[in-house]
Amino acid sequence: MTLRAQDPQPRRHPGRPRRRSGRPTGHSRDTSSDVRDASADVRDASAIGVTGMLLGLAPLLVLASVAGAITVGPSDLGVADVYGVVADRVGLGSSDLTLLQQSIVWDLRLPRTLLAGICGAGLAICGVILQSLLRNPLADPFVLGISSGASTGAVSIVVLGIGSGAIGLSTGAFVGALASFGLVLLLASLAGGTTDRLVLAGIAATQLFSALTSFIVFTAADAEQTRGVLFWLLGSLSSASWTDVLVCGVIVLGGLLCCVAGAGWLDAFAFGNDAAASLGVDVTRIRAVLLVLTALMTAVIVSTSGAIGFVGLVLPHLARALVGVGHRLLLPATALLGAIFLIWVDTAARTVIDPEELPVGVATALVGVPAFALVLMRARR
Amino acid sequence: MTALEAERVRWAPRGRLVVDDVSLRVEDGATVGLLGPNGSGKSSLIRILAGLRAPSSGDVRLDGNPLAGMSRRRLARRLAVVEQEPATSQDLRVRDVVALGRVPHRPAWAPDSTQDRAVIEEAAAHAGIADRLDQRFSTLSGGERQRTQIARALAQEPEILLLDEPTNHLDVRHQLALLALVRRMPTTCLVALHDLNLAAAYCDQVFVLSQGRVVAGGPPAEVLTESLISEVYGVRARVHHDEGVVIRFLGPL
Repeated sequence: MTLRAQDPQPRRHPGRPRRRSGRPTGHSRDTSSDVRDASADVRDASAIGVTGMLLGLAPLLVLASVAGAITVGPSDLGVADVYGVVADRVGLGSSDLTLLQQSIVWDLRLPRTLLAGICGAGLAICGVILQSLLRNPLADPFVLGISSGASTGAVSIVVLGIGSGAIGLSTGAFVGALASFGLVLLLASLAGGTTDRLVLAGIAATQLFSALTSFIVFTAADAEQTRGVLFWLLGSLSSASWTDVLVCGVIVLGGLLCCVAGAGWLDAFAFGNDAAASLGVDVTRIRAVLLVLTALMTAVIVSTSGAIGFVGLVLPHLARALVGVGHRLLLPATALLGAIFLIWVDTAARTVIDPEELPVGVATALVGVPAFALVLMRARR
Repeated sequence: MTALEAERVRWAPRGRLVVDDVSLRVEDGATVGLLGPNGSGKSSLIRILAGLRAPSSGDVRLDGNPLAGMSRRRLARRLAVVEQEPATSQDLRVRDVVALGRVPHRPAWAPDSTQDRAVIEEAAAHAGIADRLDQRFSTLSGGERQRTQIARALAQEPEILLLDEPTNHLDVRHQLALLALVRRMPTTCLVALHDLNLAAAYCDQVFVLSQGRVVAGGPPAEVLTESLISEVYGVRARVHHDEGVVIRFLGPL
């Protein structure tokens, strides 16, 4: 067999100095590339226009969703009434509603709606981070068993009575979340570290921690505790308080800001850890910080509202379709979408079978499973 | 002057010796080939030279400064690497991929500046994918993907570019076009290659690895001899010197 390399560019003479034009920016540019540049600018401008409009509109939509969702329910309330109560409470006006109605708005529906928005945003952000860092379109806190672990941690606190109060619950959930996440990453890396191994490890961890939770509930809880725990494991925002809103709000907002500050690093993980390292990212540190941040956000959310699935899985894909893959826009867009989504799903959950209440995790699963199937089919392609 | 050099580099992950006492020097402005059979340690050596793996012993130096003491970010502005067939699970456009090359040049929270965009367009034009920028990376052919990765590496504005078997899975036309592109590039290049004839045609210098050791180094016409090829690759070959170096393979030993 003969191989002959036909050199399309005649080989340089060894003695002749090489033409060096420094860096790519230094190259001469022909007119056609100038034309391309101009059209690219137009394209960019329109892209910024569309995404800018979306991002500008979305906070208004979130506000409108909060105000709108509060009016939905058995008491006959309008947006103006809600505004009146809020103005009254912050000392900028007065409300002509009865004290009971004021209490429904201020103590029940407002914190619950805000918490729904915060949890939706937080779970969706966790989904983006996990999908990007682990390079897996199916990653989300629920699928990877982090929610399960957090539930086990929280249930141990409630049923076994270790520690007390919201801080104790969150701490238990955080420890559980870290434990299950660590287990999943360890299992996946021992099994070869590929995409499907990670999902399989997540399933294993979900099963294990669900079993542990059931074990704790069946051996230690009384009937009253069991009913409470089960309802809460399916996800419920019915016990939302202003403390929950504050704690979750601070953690989720902090998490979002941290992630947006590191958006370029998250982008760099698109082709894996080595590629990110070769782009100047301190992979070990950034990964550790972001994964712990995800576990922390998941833990705080699970400890206040239970395990709500599919928000983190589906909404990042929807957001990518709207604003593209760059994390600087993707993260806030996903957060806003997550907020709007969970506010309305929770509103539906507390009203569709009125006077009973559907666990919000059941509602998100009913919406999420068909969407999950779509993501799976896309991932196969 | 930017020279990349390895001095007595040894790498033995989990006790398995992969790179054994390698010393080499890539001179400024040169296109240098890294040759050797499968499993001879080419990819590992490239990762070590790129600072992605720390050698078990020995030093890698860029202009005399050890990589170990350099920040990742500073290194990424001076040295870019194109690994074998990088894959992603995300639905990136070609522009997004090339833009990754700007990550070491701007704060992590900042958008692409006008200058960043100019560099991206320029790098894409140089790699011959300027008309593909708005296409999906997943829809590209193998050759176009390699060009996109090279454009990304160029957008890093490196002084040194390391390429790990960039001609893998490309047909002969794309192999030649890609190496001609590498050859034209102003940066110093170290290219791992399988094809000895391509190496002979496009490289100023070659190093030959065998079982983790450098067994020969120098201009291809001097290094690629019939005895070396039979020793390292276990094949009989005839080397002709009439129009450049042309190697004719006769069969296994």
